[in-house]
Amino acid sequence: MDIKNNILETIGRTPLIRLNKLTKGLPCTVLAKVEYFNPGNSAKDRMALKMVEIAEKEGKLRPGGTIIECTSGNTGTGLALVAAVKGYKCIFTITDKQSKEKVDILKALGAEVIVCPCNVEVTDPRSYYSMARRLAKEIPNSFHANQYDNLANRLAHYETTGPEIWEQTDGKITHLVVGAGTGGTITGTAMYLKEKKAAIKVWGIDPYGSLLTKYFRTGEIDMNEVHPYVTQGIGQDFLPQNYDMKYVDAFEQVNDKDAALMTRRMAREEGIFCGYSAGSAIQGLLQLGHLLKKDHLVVVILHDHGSRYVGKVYNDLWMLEKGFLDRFPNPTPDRNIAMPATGNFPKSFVRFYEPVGKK
Amino acid sequence: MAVRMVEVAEQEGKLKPGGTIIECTSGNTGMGLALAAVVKGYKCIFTTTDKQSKEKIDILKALGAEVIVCPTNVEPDDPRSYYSIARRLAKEIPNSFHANQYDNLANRLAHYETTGPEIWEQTDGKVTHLVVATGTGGTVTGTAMYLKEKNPKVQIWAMDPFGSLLTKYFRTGELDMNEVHPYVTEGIGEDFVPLNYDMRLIDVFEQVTDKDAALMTRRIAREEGLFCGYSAGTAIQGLMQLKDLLKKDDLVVVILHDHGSRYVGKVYNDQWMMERGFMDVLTFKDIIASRGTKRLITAAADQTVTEAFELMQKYHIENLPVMNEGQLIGAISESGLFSRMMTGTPDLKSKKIAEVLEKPYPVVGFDTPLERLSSLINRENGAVLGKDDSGNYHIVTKYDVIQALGA
Repeated sequence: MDIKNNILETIGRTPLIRLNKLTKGLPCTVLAKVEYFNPGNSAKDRMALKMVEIAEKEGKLRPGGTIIECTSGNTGTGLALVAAVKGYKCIFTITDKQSKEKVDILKALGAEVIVCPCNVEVTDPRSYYSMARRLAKEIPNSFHANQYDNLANRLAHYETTGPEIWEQTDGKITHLVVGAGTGGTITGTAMYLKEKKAAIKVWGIDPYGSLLTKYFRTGEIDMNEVHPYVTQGIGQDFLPQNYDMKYVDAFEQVNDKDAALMTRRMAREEGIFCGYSAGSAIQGLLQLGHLLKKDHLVVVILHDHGSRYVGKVYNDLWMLEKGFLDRFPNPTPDRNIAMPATGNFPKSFVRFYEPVGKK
Repeated sequence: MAVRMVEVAEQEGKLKPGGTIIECTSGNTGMGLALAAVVKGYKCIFTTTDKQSKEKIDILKALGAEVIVCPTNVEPDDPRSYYSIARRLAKEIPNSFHANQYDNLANRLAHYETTGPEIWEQTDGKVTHLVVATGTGGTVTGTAMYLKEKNPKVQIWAMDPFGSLLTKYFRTGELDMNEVHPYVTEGIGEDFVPLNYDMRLIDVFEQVTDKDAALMTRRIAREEGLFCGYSAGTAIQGLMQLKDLLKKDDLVVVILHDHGSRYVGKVYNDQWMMERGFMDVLTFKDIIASRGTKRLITAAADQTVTEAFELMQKYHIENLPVMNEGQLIGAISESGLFSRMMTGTPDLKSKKIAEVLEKPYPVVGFDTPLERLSSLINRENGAVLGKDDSGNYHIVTKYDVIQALGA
C-alpha cells in the first residue's frame, strides 16, 4: 500500500513547477522548487527532522526530552511537528514583537512558547537567545537545536533537496537560486549539486540590511551593512556556521519593496502563494537575468507559504504604510450594491431547495 | 473541485477566455477557484459576508480576486445577500460563470475522478470504510461513487455537525428546519440539501458536537502532528463515536479537508475555546487547589509592624490580611510598608498595624475566572480573597496569578 506511517514521511519530495509569466523576459526555463508542500508549509521541516534525528543518534536527545530553539517561525513549526510525532516536548523563545498568530500556531502543535523582550541586547540574560541557552543548560535531557550553527541543517539539504532537484531535472540544472538566511539550504543543496556537476552556478539572494553579500564579496564582517529590513526569513547580521561561501558563485541584494511586489505577483500571476523571501529570490534572479542564456535551466527554491504573510505583504494597507504602494491597487469597481451599515443577525439563514437524492 | 468546475465550464462553453468566475465563498473554494483562475487567466469575483475575517478576504485578494463583502443581517433572498449578489453579478457580467459548488455536479465528479481512485490505489483496494465530514456533498458522494463501483461493500460514513439538517434528512428523508441552529464548526453541515448529494451511497450519518470536534482537532495537531482544520476534528471524533462497528481487519480512510493555519485564531486559540465553553476557564478555586491547601496567615490590628514583618519573613509572604474579631478590616503588605519607609514614616517598626492599615483585599467568589483576578491585582492591591463553603478565607496573590497564567 502507498501510505505514510506518520506525517514526517511527507517531508520532502516537493514539486518542481515551471514559472510561465514572471520570468518570461529570461531566455531560459525557470523552475520553482515549491517548499510549502512540506507538512509544516516550509523548507524548515527538512532540517528540523534532521537536527532531531542527529541529536538522537549522538545521544543529545533521549526519550521524553525537550527541544529548545529561539524561533517564532517556520523552524518552530517544523520542530513542533517532529516533536509531536516523536514524543518530545518543545520550548521556543520568541521576542514580544512577534504576532499572536505565530505563537498560536506553535502552541497548537503543543509547544511551550516563552515571550522575551525584544528591546534588549542579544547578550542580555533576558534576550530570547540567552533565555534559550539558559533553558538548555537548566532543563535536564534538553537539546538546543540552534539552526544557525547546527550543521545538520545543511546536511538535510545535502541529503534531500539536492538529490531531488538533480533527479527532477535529469541532471540538466545549470543554476540554483536561493534566498539565504541560516545558510543551510543554499550550502547543503549546492554541496550536492556541485559534487554531481561542478559547473552548476549557485546564486545567493540577500536583502539589503544583511551583511552576507558584503561578506561573500570581501570576506569582511561589516556591521555598517546591517540595518533593519522588513523582508522576513532571510539575511543575517552575523555569519552562521552553516555557510561555506566556496559553494556560492554570486550574491545579489534585493530591496524590501521589490521583493514585496514580486511576492504579490507570484501569487497573482503564477498562482503560487508564497512567503516574502520567494519574492526576493525571483527578483534577485531577474536582476541577474543578463547572465542567463537560452539553454540554461534555473531552479529557484521558494521557502514557505503565503498564509503567514496575509497581514503583511499581501495586505494593501501594510504595503501602503511601508511605502511599497502609492495607492490602493485594483479598487473594487462600483457595482451599485447598496449595503446597510449595521444590523442584527438574520432570523434564519435558510435557503430552500428542492430535496434531491431521496433514499 | 475548483479545477474540475472550471474545466467542465470550459468544455460546456460556459466560460470563455477572459471570462469571470463568480462564487459565494470566503474559504477554501475561493482559494481553489482563485488559483485555477490565475493559471488559466480568468477574473474572479467572490461574494462573502461581513462576518468573515479580514485574513480570509486578504488571502483571496492576494490571489487577485475581487471580493464583495455583503451584509449577514439580511435574508438569503434579499437582493443584498451574498447569495443574491452572486446570482445578480452572474446575470449582469458578460462571459461570467457562477461556479455554485453546492449544485454544480462537477464538484462530485472531481472526487469521483481523483480522490476515489487515489484512495483505491493507495490502499491496494483494501479500504473497507470511508469517513468524510460532509458539506456540499461533493467529496463524500464523488469518492463513494468510485469506491462502491470498485467494491460495493465499502462502507461510507458521513460526519455532520449538530445544527445541520443533513443527518435527519438522511435518516428520515425529511427536510426538518427544526434541526437547524447556528453552530461553530466550519466548512461542513448544511441548512439545505445541495444537489451534489446522493444519499443512496452513504451508509451511516453521525453527528458531532462543536466542542468534541474542536478538542479533537487540537489533539490531531498535538498527538499526530497533523495541523488540520476544524472539520478534521469532526471526522475523527465521529469515527471514534462509531468505533464499536469496527473490526480488527477493517481499513478505515478518513478524509481531512484542510490546513490548520486558517483556524489559528479560533479552534487553536485557548481564549476562543474558553469563551465558547470548550475549555475550562481557570478559576480562583483551581488556583488554590493547584498550590495545595494552606492556612491563611493573617495579622491582628493590635499587633505591631515588627510582628507583621516577622510573619512575612517566617512564611515567605508579602500580603497579610488584617483581622479584628473575625472580621476583615484591612491589609498590610510588604510593598506598602516599603513605601512608608521610603517616605520616612517615623517609628514605623513600633507602630500598631491599625495605624498603617491598607485597604482590605477584594473578596471574590470561588468561581471567579483567572482573567478577572488578574485585573483586580495591581500596584495598589497585591491580592484577592475568597471564602470557601465552610467560611474560611483563602488568598490569591500576584505571584499565584503569574504562575497560573504561565502554566
